[in-house]
Amino acid sequence: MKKTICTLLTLIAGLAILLAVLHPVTTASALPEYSAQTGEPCATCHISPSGGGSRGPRGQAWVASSKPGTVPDLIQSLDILGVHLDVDESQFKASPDPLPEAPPLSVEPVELEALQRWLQEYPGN
Amino acid sequence: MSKISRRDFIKVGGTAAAAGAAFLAARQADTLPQAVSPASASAGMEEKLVKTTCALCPSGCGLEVRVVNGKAVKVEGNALHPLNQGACCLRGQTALEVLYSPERIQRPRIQTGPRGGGDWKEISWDEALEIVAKKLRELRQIGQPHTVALMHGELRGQMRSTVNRFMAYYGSPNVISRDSLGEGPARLAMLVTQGINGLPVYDLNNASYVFAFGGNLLESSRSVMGNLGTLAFMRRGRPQRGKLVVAHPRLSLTGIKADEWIPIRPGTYGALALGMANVIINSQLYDQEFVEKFCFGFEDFEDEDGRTHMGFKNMVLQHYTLERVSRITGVATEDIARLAGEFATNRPAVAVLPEEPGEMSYGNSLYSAMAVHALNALVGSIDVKGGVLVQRFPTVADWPAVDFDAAAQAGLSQPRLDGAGTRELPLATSVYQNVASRILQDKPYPINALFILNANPVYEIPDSGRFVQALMKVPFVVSFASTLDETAAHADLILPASTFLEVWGDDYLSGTGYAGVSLRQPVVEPLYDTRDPGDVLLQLARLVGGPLSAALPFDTYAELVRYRLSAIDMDWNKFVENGCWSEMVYFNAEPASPAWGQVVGRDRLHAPKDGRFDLFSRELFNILHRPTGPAEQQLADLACLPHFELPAALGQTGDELAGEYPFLLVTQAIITSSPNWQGIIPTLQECYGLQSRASWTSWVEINPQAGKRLGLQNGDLVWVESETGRVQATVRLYPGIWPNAIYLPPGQGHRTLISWGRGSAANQVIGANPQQLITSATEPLTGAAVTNPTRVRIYKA
Repeated sequence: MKKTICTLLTLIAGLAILLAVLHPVTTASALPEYSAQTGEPCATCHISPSGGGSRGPRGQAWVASSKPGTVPDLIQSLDILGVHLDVDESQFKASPDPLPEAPPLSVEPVELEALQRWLQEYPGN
Repeated sequence: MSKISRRDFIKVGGTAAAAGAAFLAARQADTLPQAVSPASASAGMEEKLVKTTCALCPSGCGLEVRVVNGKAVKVEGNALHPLNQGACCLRGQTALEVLYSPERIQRPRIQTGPRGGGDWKEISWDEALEIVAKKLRELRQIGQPHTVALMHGELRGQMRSTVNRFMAYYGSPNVISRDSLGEGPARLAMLVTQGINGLPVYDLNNASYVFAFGGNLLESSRSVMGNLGTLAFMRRGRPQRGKLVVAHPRLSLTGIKADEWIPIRPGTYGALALGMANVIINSQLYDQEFVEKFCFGFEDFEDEDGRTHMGFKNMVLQHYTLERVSRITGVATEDIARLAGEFATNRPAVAVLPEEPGEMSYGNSLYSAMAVHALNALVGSIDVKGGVLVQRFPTVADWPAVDFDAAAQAGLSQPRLDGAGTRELPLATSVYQNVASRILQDKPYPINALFILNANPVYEIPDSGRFVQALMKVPFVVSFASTLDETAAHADLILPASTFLEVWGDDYLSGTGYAGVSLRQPVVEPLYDTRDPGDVLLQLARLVGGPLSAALPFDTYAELVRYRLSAIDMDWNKFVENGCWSEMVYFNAEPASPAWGQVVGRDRLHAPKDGRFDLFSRELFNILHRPTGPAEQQLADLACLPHFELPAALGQTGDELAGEYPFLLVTQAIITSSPNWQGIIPTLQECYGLQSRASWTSWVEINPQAGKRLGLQNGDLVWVESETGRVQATVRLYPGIWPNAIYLPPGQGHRTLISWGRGSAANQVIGANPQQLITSATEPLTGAAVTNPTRVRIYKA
């Protein structure tokens, strides 16, 4: 009798675990369908390459714009998210004019003190 | 009737409880706000999540710390931070052990007996600051401000420029950073070839082929978490998988995770890179358009006087044949040819330089780094997706304009203590390892006061005994240490620094390419009567007065940081809430675009800013220029080209020692060693050897063939001995090490009075410090420390 009760309790407990485990799966918000819908790999929107979890800027912008058929590109995403970059993209495009010829190698006087100051002016950490 | 056994009861009860808890947790996770857990809500506890920035390694990852009732209880990664994106490494997880360490110095103290004797007396901050300020004022009044020196380790964000400004307006040129032990060669290689005064950034996310010349990208690089994320993405997160190749004498964790490990003779990365360049050029696999239009010095060329100079192509083809490179490196000719072919045909490909201490410290670091970086130019990987990027930094507010007074000007005109910037070391920014001998020789003048900030030179410089002698010679030594490390033990005064979880500060994002700043903010109130060194410098500036005070007119370091960052177009409250701000986007400059000048040639001083990558360094040509005759011409040209120089331990000096000291010692940082804190973090000690499974000790890796010859077994206790000293370690026979190399991990062997986690044995030394085996030397031109490979022998203890 006790054994039957014990088995029954174990079954109930097991069922409870199953429910608990399944519960978050059924309500998960990261779905392969989204990848199929947008034609993008999970990593386009998510920080984790396999999807799920935190979203990157493009994922955040996609959700913020009600999950359209395509994921906005990074620039559009930043615009949607309110990050405004003061950048003229044309500055990064190649000019049709070639670089001027390199001047011939010539000797320039070196001032060691200036060189030292210049080396110390590293802007980083 | 059978009874329910205790086992059954526990099984049923436990399962039911777990199920209930799991079910509740699953339900509540969906309904409760992230910042408040069910437990805290029901118990009425005050809980918050505070975002800040880690300082346990140079990466500067974002952290999110859970604080309950004013106590920090858990550290995780900040999901909004561009570098680590929510992940947190083992070191970061131990941040609370730093904060709550019983070994922390809790208030200022002065050494009353002989230095190193340990007779300390606690004093107030007012007393301590007045002692220091009085000394600084006195030295300035007698025209000796230049005899004050400050040695520092990693300084982040505004702290580096604050320290430089403090010392400049005080009147001393002697700010000596630890850079010469580590990152220097990569930065200098960028400078003399690409013309950018900054560390290279590698776009691993988008690379098809990553070739790491040394280093330990996944354990000890300057962007560990960033590299973990990007390399995972490169190899598993995108449709076309990239390939990671690691060349190193030792199979590190990075090598294990790589697609291919190339065992290589220590100190010969430059030769391998030039051998690969030979194949790429010979096979016409280089990016001809990029090389012809946007590089200087590929072909032989004439200068303005009509003299012919050797170009990169001829130099490589003449001197770095496959057979010769194979003899130097120990890498088979067919492997060099295959790797070169793969590198050149799987674009974007990127050749990665190490930036951690010891990895390039073979005495040939500048030219080896130039050789590696030249590969990036050969395949056109300069500022392209998947190539080498240039780190951008946000524009910060200018410092207040203040004129230097006569005392400061006179002090700044003096030569530096460490010899950086002299004719012998023109490219050195600091020569950290030179300080001890220069102090002992009164070169170039006697030092009257020495400040040590976030560094422990007695431990981290070879021949620590000499540095102790130097400290004893300086009349006044002040340390900002948080614990009683080897250097602080020999100070007159300790002004204890708060930990990074108790202070305001910032970090520039690095390793992203795009500009950004990460915030450091107090997670908890300072536990003890400690202060942020930034605040201490501001207080000292006020006490010294004059232009120094005017140059740093801020009440607190937090105010200074906020002022400097005020030029960035961002919402401060959002910055505090998110813990970081960044531009999020890197724009690649196409060659010949208006922005191209910002990524090639921008920082040149003695060479044209003409948008060309220098395979023949015009910057070096002018820095090294001496009138030469035709016979010396080739040698002079070679000094401007990437080339290979044999490390002393492999050359004639090494040959003389080879019989007595047959092994080459290599060191390589690992994820469980944290500069400055290693001795006091029990968790890092507990899992010290992730691969070797050694904890609270050091091990020495020996190739099984060598071990067999010496009759050594795993677990044997041995002496590792060089000409300068010997240390004990436990043998680990490891096939992943070059046949005549041995490996000792850095970070152990601290000699302190720390007892936390070490039983009752005070002054117990855990493991071995490899620096005890190394003779300090300095590389010409760059001032980089030469520490590897040292010749050693091994015998049973």
